[in-house]
Amino acid sequence: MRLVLRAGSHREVADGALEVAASPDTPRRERWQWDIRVFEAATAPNGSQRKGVPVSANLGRGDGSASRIEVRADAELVRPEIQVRSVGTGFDVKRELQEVVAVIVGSGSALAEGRHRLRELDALILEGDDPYFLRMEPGPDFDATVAVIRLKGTGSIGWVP
Amino acid sequence: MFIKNAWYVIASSDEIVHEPMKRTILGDDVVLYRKLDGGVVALDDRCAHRAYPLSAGRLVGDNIQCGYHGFEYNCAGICVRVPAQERIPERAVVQAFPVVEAHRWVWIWMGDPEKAAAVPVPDTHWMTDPAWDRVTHTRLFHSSADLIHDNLLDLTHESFLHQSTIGDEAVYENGITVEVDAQTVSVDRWMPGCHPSPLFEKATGLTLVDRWHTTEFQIPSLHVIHAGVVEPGGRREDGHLLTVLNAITPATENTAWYFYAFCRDFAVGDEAMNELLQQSLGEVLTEDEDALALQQERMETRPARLPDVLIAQDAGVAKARRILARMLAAEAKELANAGRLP
Repeated sequence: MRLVLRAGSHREVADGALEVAASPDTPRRERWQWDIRVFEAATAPNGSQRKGVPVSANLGRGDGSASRIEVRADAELVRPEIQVRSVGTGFDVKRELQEVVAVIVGSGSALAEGRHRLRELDALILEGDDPYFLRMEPGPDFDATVAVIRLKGTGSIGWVP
Repeated sequence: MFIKNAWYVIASSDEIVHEPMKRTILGDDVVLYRKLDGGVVALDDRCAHRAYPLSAGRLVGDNIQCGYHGFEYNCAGICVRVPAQERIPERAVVQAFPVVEAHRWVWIWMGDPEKAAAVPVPDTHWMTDPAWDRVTHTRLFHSSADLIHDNLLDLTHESFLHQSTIGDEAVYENGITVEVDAQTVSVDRWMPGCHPSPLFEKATGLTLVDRWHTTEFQIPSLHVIHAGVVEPGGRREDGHLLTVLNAITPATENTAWYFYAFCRDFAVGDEAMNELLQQSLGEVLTEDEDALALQQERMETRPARLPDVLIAQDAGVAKARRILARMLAAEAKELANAGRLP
């Protein structure tokens, strides 16, 4: 399944952060697996009360500033990784079985799968049975910077409503 | 609790005539009628004097007269005549609601009237576009509006509930793309190289197609489903196209009005096709209506410790619920800040 989460749909949470995606999406219903948050400033303090060991990276924004992407995960279930990169002339993302992939745009715009135009802070989540392959291409303006987040499951993981 | 600052369909155009008609929406009774010039009037259906329903009264020109003691209100809800005395009490006013009639549906705004002008009614031009034909239904469902929203956002139910008409295994076998914005949730399903649904096969004569449906929920009141079939490998725009309009208006907490229009860009003017679709889609709606009534009943008796077990296909459902909850909370906060109870 693909989830295209536009910047206007992200949820404001504590610490001035935006929750871009989480599993479960409905808190306290299923066992917590992971969440992805964006902190406006790269220097924002860590949300220390939250569980899970964070993995974070700074993501350049269109206005020249940087935000911090933070991924927390239940270490028993998920190993998170973040890679920040430019879209350049385009690149491919291959997803493994038992892996959730999230792409978040920091600056510029990018085209996913030739049809989903992603702009600043838009996110695309891939999970479940398909797709396992994603083509990212540049948008019409200046080069886009994106964060590619991989959530590797130690067992079966997914995005849970 | 209902979101009030939004446009909802309250009636189809042909339902409203120059006789008062009562309709309950968002928990409130509204009286509707047409003025002599054809314009639609919507007022709170309760006389300010002794709460008698105005819908049980009669029209005097464009004014409505209460059938109990004869208080007479103009189209703005202001009392203009009290038969038993000359003086008209200042508080003899009933609320008038903004209405817009567009493409054979009448929309009403039950919230802050000052906010209505800034928000256009959703686009439903397929209802009157001469390049399209359509069949329509109006139903009162005995389930909450939320259950209808859930039903429309997870169309895998078609494979089981509507096997003989619009559903088959292709629906649940193909994945979805869910897109979420501030006030819109869409669920797109692409079903390449499969049979059309039984009803579509009958309607188009095609047996192998690429097929799709995209539900766009314009929260809180309208689902627009763009669907179609095309010969395998063809472009969507060259196929047989459908736009299915589903306007959902809560009547009470556990009943909802369902205004349905199935619009197509093929076989336009074909009366036999209209009859086939009118009957078949009426059956589909009845299947939904019966199923959701059963679901409503079970949900009302379900222990709180047993919430829904949602799966990935419910992504649209979960996201829409969250947006609805956020909009409700925002309205409640705004009312509280203004010192009024929601």
